Amino acid sequence: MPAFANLKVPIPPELIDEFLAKLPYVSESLQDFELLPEQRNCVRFNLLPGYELDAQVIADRISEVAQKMCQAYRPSASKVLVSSQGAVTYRLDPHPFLEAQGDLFKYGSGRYGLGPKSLWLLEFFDRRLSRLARQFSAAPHQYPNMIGADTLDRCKYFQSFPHSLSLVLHLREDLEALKAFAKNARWDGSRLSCARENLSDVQCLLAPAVCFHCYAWLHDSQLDEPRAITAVGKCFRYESSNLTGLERLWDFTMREIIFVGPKDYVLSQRRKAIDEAVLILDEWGLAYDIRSATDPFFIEEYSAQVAFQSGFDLKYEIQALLPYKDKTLAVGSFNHHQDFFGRSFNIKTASGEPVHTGCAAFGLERLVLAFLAQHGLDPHNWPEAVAREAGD
Amino acid sequence: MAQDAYFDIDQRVRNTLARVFHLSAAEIGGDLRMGHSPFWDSMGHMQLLIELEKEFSLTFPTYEIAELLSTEAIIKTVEKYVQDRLPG
Repeated sequence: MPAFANLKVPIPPELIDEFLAKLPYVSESLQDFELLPEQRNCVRFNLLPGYELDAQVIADRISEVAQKMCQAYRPSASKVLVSSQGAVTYRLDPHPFLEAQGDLFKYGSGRYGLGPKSLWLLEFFDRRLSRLARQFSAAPHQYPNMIGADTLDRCKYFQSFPHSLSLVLHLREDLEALKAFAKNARWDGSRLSCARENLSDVQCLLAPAVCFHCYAWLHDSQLDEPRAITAVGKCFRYESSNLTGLERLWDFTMREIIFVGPKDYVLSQRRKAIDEAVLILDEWGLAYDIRSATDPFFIEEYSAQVAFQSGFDLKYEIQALLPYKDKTLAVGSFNHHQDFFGRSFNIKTASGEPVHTGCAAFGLERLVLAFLAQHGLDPHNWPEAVAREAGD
Repeated sequence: MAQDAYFDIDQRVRNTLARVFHLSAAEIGGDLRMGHSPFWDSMGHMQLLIELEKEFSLTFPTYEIAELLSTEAIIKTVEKYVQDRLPG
């Protein structure tokens, strides 16, 4: 029997997707839920069998999420910088076709492998974005997949995005613990069953973004001149039941071009990156918008962080069309972090001020998905600039 | 009367700054700017605006968030809102 959470405030229409994306984190016992559409102030939900007595607690938590997201929420119109209709020739969901022809394999929730065709596209897109990075004289770097907890702490990541963290553990350096693990650990059908007291503390996490490594590298330094750096890397963001095919992966690949220097430099490079990205997206025949956006902050600081990001124009996203859903998907972003990382990592400009930082970031699997969703799997139907390379 | 109201706004803005950023009376006397106090970062900025909104019963639109970066700018903006509210 469904239960209901009555919200003290109706969810503004533009916040509905973000609100619903937060609800899987409310409780492990939450089976499914929906916001009743007319009033937008009531959530109907079902709990897993055996958890029915928790209904009131869960209803209160859902209500808390709504209240924290809506209090001090300031509606603001999205700014559209660029809008392109592209040359869309396809309307089907490419996932089943990719799986059927060996170009996509699901290992688990949010974890996919790519076969020859989808991997070719991913590498093709990355080569083109690497050329873009060279236009900015960006120095190529390689970073680890893991990131120190100390680095993420300096980024205040634990406060802003605790729900998406992926912690890394190892077994304790203890002979008895190792022997006990080797003897007893097993996959029980849904998880690795083992004694928690044998596990280490957390020193590292899987990196949620590429650019944090760059700021950690530059810590406690003074830059003679502005710098551009580029790197491609694996990123990890846990998204619970929101994980959906190539649209929303736990483990994905991101190419970033990072700008470090005075404010004017960072803003001008971000603007140039947007202009150059438009040329590339048009080459690929994509239908997309570039519009102002905000990050999916955790509920405690949601309203304030979103308002700040909007007010200061800190983030723009490339929203590519997914015709099979009649929705768009963020495939890239252009960010200005102001002097947040300059202060957090004590990086200064030549004149001694904290540096400003910014980045252009591209989700490669999402680009592959958007491209295939708009043009299909047959290279003969792909835009000339891509089909030509595919034929070589 | 109007002059008193303006003096009041100046002092109330400064008192709000002192309360939110844990500053002494001496520290709020001049034209404090975002970044000058370690507490006036992005989260501090939004906390300040929320407290100012409560203090003066107003709501700053999103486009104004990036303009309220100093004591002087805040006082001028709040004065504008209060002026708009005055009868006649």
